[in-house]
Amino acid sequence: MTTPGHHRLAAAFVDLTGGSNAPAGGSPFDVTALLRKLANHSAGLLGASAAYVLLAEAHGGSAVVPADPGTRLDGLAYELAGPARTCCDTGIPVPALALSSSAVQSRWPRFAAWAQGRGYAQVAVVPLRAHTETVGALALLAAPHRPLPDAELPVGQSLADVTALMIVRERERAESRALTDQLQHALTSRVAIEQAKGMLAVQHTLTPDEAFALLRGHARSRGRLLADVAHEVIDGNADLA
Amino acid sequence: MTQADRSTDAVLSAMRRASDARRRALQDLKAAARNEALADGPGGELRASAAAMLRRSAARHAAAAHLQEAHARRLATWMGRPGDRPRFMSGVADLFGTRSATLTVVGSDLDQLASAASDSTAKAAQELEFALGSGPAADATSGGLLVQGTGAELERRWPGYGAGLAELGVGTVVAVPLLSTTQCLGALTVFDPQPYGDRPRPVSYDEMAAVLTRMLLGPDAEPELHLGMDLQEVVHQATGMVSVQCGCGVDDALSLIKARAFALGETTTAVAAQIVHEGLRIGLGDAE
Repeated sequence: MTTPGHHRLAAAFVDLTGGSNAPAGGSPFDVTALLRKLANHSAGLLGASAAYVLLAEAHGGSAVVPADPGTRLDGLAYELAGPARTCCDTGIPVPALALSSSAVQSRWPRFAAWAQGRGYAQVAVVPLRAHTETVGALALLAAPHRPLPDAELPVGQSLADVTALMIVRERERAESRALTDQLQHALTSRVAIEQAKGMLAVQHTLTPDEAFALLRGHARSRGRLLADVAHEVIDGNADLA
Repeated sequence: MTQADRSTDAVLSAMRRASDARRRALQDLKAAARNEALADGPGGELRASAAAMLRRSAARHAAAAHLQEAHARRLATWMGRPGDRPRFMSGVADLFGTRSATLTVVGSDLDQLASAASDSTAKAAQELEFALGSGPAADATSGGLLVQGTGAELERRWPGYGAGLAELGVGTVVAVPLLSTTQCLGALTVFDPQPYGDRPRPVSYDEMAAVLTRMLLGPDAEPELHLGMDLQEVVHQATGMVSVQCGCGVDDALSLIKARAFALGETTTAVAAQIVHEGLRIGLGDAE
């Protein structure tokens, strides 16, 4: 089965995963731009009047990214107690619900009033899931004349999950970079400290242990890091006499 | 803390790391199954590729757990008995059907920062490569690719190194880079691995390198404690001493120590120990 919808869906996946314009390691990862793409594609494919994404606390929390600057999502701070926040916390999707329904009115009264005040009639939310965690939530809002197609919500879920995978993968890359730097920095510092001990031992006729005590005492009394002082000793810029 | 306390701690720590790794493997397997269940739907290809990635990740956690458990068992068996304390790397060597394997970690300039060896042969081979400044681990690290050589090929490729290995009774070397997602951390080198012929190896070199990389970069990594890594403190202390005595930089000082070791057929560590503990002074004349 090939329909124009399928082509649009394929194009959305290509766009979200970077497609042929994927940065070749050079340009920084822009999570806001990615989430805006997700909101735009989901709203377009599912016929929603508006869409926005909320990130889970672990991923920066309150970043709400509306699909288009033109849509009526001003004052969205109400979402902090709305269905997307609930979905972020629980990882459970919210099916298409009428804003006037008792389910919405009782759970998110302020959100319901806010959305109805802007002319929306329905809300649905899908989580951005990756591996075992919920990275965020994608909320879709519908106008009264164009209800959200419940059967199509899995499409939104797939787009949301692909986005979540992109976010998690980028985070893993950044973590790996940080851990590598940390390991190398720790080992390089140790090497510098041992070299400085040797230098001080000769300069002051000390044993390596005494040289270490001198180095540590100097660093402590000045509130400096041992490795920084060691590098100064090696560069000939420290006076530990 | 007594020796027995320290050994008990080491056993418990290895067991804790093993159980952490098993838990992570299980998490990844569950997540892989979830992705596989959805692989027929929209975005199926990405789901399938995510599932495959998670299964690889789970296998690495499981392999790390297996290594830690084996290490814990060897430590527990050794406790209270004579003989050298079991080294973590001997478990890695075991998986390749040999006794000798080394792990080296380099800095961003590819200078060696730390190493771990499974036995005296591996340690001697590692010392040789460190003194010469060239060898399979250095090539695997700088090239980011698996490097291997056998017999006379070793001496042709790395003059001095091949002859030294032959003296140690080693005929074949395989070195594989430790690649993180962003750079190369060092190398795993295996000496005289058992030939498997057409049979599949229990673990591939690339897989073992990936497992060790993950262990080095783990959230609670303590390479000295759980991988038995040696920072060669005495070599760096001697380097500092020689740099003052000769009025040269630390890089030149290290080269002087290595040159003396090579000229006398000693290890860099042995010469460094003489400088630090016995007052040996080496001069610029030694380099010639």
